[in-house]
Amino acid sequence: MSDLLNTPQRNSLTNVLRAMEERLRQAEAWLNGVEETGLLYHRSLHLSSEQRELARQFIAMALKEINELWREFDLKSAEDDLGATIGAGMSLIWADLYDTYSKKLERFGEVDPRVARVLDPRLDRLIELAQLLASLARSNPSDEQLDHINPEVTD
Amino acid sequence: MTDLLNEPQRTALTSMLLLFEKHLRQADAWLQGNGVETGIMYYRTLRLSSAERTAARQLIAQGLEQVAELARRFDLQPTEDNLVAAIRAEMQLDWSDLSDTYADSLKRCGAVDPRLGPALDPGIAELSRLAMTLAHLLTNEPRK
Repeated sequence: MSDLLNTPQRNSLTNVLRAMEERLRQAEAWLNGVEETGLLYHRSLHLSSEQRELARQFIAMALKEINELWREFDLKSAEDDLGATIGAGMSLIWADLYDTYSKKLERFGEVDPRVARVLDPRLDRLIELAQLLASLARSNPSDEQLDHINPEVTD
Repeated sequence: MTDLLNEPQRTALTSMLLLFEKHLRQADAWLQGNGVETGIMYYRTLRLSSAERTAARQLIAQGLEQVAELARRFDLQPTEDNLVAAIRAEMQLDWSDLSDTYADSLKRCGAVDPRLGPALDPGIAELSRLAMTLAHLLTNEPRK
């Protein structure tokens, strides 16, 4: 069956199945895991045990189907470099963090002058941490960057 | 400090820090070896030395401390992240993507071999059915 697809068709099928597999495995992990509580979010999954079991069965069936398509059409597995993913995520976030400085919050109305004193130094540090983490995840931090891992932020 | 931000400012700050926290926790889970699995269509790699992993986790811990401190100073409240709704939305997205993967739809990528439809379409139809069934299952309230 591997000769039935041209390269763009093969890429299209591969991309859709890969994205679906990633989402199915994420859903499976959530269904199997404990509810996670962060500082600013609480993850909840309100399902009965019967619904969880059914959902797991559907996921297993879907993964089996993906496996069969992968085998029949001789599709290739691709590397998912998590270091690059972490680096990309951190790069994106540090750009977004700039929009949260007190001066930038003026787009939502007048900003109390006391906000800058508390918020801005911590955003400086978060941006620095995001940049350091991005470099480290890509395995290319400079010595100068590594010297900045432990500074204290006080106000 | 709780009264220093108006509502849109509070929402903007909360959203940004929430996103950052999720990125940090996901990275930390991967650095600990959680979720670094090999699938069918992909295999995950994380080529960092143990010293680099330790340094990265140290940075993440510092980032989470800063987020916690800002949340405390501005009294930012945690929000609920409804995973049932998230899975449902993703299954609907998969169903939509699969609709564009039937042999007939692949004509946009060039001439389609007439043998492709019978070989591919039943598998795509089954995946679509499973995605919609799963989405539908997650539409219902928990059964008692």
